[in-house]
Amino acid sequence: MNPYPNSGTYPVPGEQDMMPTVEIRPFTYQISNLQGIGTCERQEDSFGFVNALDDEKISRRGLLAVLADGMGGMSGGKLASETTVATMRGDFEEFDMSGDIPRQLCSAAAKADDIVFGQLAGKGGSTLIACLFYREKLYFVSAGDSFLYLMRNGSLYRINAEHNVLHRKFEDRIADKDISLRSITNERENRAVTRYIGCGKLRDPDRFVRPLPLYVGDIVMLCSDGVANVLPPERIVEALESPSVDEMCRMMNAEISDNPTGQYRDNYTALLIRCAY
Amino acid sequence: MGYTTCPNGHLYDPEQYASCPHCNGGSNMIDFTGGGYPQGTIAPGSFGGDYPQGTVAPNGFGGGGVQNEKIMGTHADPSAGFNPDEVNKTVAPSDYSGGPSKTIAVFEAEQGFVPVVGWLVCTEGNKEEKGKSFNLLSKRNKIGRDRESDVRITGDNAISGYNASIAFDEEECSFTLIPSDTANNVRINGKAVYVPTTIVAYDEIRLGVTHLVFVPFCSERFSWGKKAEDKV
Ligand SMILES: [Zn+2]
Repeated sequence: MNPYPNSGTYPVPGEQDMMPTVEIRPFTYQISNLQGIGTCERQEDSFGFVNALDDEKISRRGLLAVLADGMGGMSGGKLASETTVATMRGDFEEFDMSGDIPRQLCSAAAKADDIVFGQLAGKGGSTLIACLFYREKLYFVSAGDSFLYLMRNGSLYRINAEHNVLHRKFEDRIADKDISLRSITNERENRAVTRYIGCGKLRDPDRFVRPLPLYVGDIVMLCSDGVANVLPPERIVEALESPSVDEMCRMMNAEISDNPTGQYRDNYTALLIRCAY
Repeated sequence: MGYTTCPNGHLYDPEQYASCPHCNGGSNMIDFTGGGYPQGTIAPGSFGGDYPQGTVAPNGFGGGGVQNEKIMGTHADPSAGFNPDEVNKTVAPSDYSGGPSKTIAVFEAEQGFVPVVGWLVCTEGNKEEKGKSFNLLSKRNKIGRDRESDVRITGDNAISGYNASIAFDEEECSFTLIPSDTANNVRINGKAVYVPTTIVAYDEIRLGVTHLVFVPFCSERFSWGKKAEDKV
């Protein structure tokens, strides 16, 4: 029996001209998580991994990382984000790994949407990013304004679309063939989330239709806006250049905490996954 | 040293935490101040590879919450009306431009009773809009090209995303046209206006090449005031 069912060959990135090939070995994923409550009274972000410490299960079923940023008054936000994470984790256990994985991720998200809508009747909800690392490839599904980053060869890429009013205005302008964007004003309403878990009619979440092949050294970061709105991309890059995932979290935590005291700070959560041998 | 996961899939170091510090919203947080890191914790572990890994579990920052509501989103349905005025009542205290504010959200169910108080009728303009009417509700009605507009005019490129608004004042039963600062010119009966201006029945508002005639419903003869209270 082949202990490395995902062995194979593929071109090394950046050297497409020569097309050398390398043997794929399964990755070891280095994982860390970071969470803080900010200046809030409650922690409304939730997260969770599946199979984080089990290499054997990772090779059979993959590694799942889920982040949810709850929204809604009182305990609604926490309930929504916890339910979202729990539903994704639970559903993932039932995935048919030989089936259509992007579709299964989307239906898990739709299920979470239904359940949270049932709990809060649309008065609360949660963002969602769920990443599945399976056979050295990345799958994801996302709704809302949380961030999914990929750091590769020293460059940081935002992978998911931001579902908010501002984004929608851009789309409208482009559809109108008006790319001057002159009349888009800087209003607070622009931040309003337009798709989320718990709206009861989630459709078309953002996702990869085909998975992204991962390379050794890639770092994937899922984070809530409490991280990404405080740390500009260049600071995130700096942190992600640290030698270990622990150090990355430590740096980001220190930088977020360094914000002037007294200033409002959101809950913040980050999940880091680095691909290594 | 070994990392462990709690039943909820959080990574933590059991040597530092008796139970998972991330569960229960951090209520079992431990004040760990070692290591010189502000919100301490962390301990490298190993995972089969050469790199240390592990977990960070700060939960440090004590309360003092200024604004705890995660204000959230809007409707998931892009075609549904989004009412920005409602958002402004509940938004976190920070600009869009970068402050660490909460995400915004508006929930349809909370918007309450917002009746029609008048109409705009398009008498000139592109063929999609000409002959159409638009409801004006008891609030500030945004007029523009944006999908979030209450009166959305498409196909007239001389109209801004948010060009003007019409506010209804229940107490005085008056209608005021408010041009947006950054937008293209607005005219009332042919005259350009730059400041909030009261409008009356059959005034003609011009934006771009679109002419909108204002028709009030609320007037001396009708007010929702008492009616609305009857219902509540
Ligand atoms: Zn836990």
